[in-house]
Amino acid sequence: MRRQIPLLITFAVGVIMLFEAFIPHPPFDQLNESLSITFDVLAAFAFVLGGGNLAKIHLSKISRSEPGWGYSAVTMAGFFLMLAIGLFKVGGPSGIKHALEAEGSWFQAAYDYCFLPLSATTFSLLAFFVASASYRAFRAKNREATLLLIAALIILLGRTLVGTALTETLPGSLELLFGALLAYLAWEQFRSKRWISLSLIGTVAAFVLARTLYGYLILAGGGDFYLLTVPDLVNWIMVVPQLAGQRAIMIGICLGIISMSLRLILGVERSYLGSDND
Amino acid sequence: MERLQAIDRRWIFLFIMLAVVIPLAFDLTIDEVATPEVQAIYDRIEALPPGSNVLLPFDYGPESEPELQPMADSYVRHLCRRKQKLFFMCLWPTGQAQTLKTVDQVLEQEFSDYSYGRDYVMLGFRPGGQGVIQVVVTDFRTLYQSDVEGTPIDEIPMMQNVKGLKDMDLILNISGGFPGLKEWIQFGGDRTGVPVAGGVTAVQAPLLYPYYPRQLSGIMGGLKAAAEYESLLIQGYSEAYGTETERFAAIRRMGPQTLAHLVIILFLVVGNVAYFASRGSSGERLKSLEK
Repeated sequence: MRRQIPLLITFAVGVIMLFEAFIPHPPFDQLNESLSITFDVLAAFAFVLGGGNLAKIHLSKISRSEPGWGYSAVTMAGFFLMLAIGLFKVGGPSGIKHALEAEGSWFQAAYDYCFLPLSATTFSLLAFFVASASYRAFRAKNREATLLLIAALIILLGRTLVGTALTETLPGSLELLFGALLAYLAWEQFRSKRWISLSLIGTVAAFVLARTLYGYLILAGGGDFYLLTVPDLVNWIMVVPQLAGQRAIMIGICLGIISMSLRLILGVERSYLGSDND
Repeated sequence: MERLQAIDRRWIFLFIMLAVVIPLAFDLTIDEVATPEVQAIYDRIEALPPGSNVLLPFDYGPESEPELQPMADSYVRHLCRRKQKLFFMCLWPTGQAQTLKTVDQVLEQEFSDYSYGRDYVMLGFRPGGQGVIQVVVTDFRTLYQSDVEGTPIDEIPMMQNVKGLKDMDLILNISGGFPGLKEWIQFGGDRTGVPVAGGVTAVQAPLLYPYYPRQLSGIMGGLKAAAEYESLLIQGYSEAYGTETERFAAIRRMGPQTLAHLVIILFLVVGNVAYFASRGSSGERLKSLEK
C-alpha cells in the first residue's frame, strides 16, 4: 500500500498533464492550473529545505573543525546576516507588505555592495582561466580537434569587429582563388579515386565557384559573395552546422524525456520512491 | 618551443588583464553592425502600436549582469521611446533587484513622464520556475495578488484590462540560465501564441537557435548582441542620443572584449605553432636516434 498510493498519484497527475496538452479545455485546464499552483507552493518550501540543508552541512563542518571550516563560517555568517536583515526588513519600512528593496533597506544595500560585486568578480575570473585553459588544451592534435579549433577561431574573430575589418575588403580574385583551390583538391581526390572525399570537396568547390561567378556575372563585382567574410561565416556556422547539432541533441533529449515520463506514469520506473528497505 | 608550450599561466593572466584595462582606460568604443536576429527584435518593437502590453521577465542575477544588464536597459529605453506599457516580473530571486536597477537608472532617470501603475508595474518574484509561467498563462492574479510594493493588483490601473499572458503583445525575456528564455518559449509563447524574444548570455545562445525564427522572434546572445542593439538605438533615435555612447554600457564594454578575444586568438595560434614545431623537432630527434 505504501507504494501503490504514490504510484497511483503519479499516474493520475501524469495523465492529467498529458491530456491537458492536447485538450486545453475544462476540466483539464483547471486541473493543470491547480497542479501548477501546488508545484509553485512546493517550490517555495524548497527554499526552506535548501537553506536548512546548507546550514546543516556547514554548521557540522564548523563544529568538527574540518579542513576549510573557515570558509563555512564565512558562508554561514553571510547566510544568517542576509536572512535576518531580509526577514526583519532592517532599515526599510517594516511589515510584510513592503518590498525588500525599499528605500534605505539594508537587504538592498547588502545586495548592491556585497553580493553583486562578489558575484561579478567570481564570474569575471572565468576570462583568465578560459584563456589559460584554451592555450594549453586547444591543440590541433587530430582531425576533430582541428575542426573545433578552426570553428572556435572563426567564432572568436566574428565576435569582434576585427573579423569584419579583416575580410570586408577581400578582393574578389581571392574568392575565386579559394574556389579554384577547392576545385584542384577535388580533382586530386578524383585522380586518387577517393569518392567520398571527392563528393564532399567537390560539392563545396562547386558551391563556392557558383556563388563567386554569380556575384561577378549577375551582380557585377562579386558583391553577393558572403562566405569569405568572417561575420557571415560565423552566422553560417551558427545557423547551419551548429543548429543541426543542437537539433539532434534536442531531439535525443526529448525522446529520452518522453520515454522516462512514460516509465514514470506507467509505474515501470520506481526509483523515485526509494528502496524497499527505507 | 617546448618552453613556450609550458609558459607560466601568470603571463597569460597579465596579457588578459592588459587587454581589459587598456581599452577601458582609453575609452575604446566600437560601432557594431546588427545581425538579423538582433535586428528582428528591434523591428518587432518598432512594429508594436503605442500602448501595447510588453511583459519583461528578468531572469538573471549579478553574475551575468555585465552581459545582460545592457540588454535590459536597451529594451526599456526602446519600449519607453515607443510609449509601451511595461510589466516586470521574474522567476529568479535575484531578478527583482536587477529589475529595480533598470527602473532606477534608466526608466526613472530618462523617462520622467512614465508613472508607476499607469505605464509600468513591477510584479516581482514568485518561486516555481516554469510552474509560474503555466499559471500566469491563464491568470496573473492566481499568483500575484499584489505587486512588489504590496499594492493589491486590482488597484493598479494598468492591470485592470490584463488577466493572463494572452493579454500581452510581446514577451521580452532576459535570461541567465534556468528558468529562462527556453521555458518562456515552451510554456508561455507556444501555449498562448504571444511572440517571444529576448536576450541570453553568449554561452546560452547556441542552445536557443533551434527556436529561431518560428518560436522565437529574435535572439540576442551576449555582450556583442547587446552592443548591436545599442547601435541600432543610437541610429534609430539619433535625435535623442546623437553620437553619445556614455550611457551605452555594452558599446563601451566591447572594447575590452574585442581585445581579450584577440589575445586569446593570439595565444591559440602561438600555442599551436609551438605544438607543431616541438612535434616536428621531437620527430627529427627520433629519426636521428633510429639511425
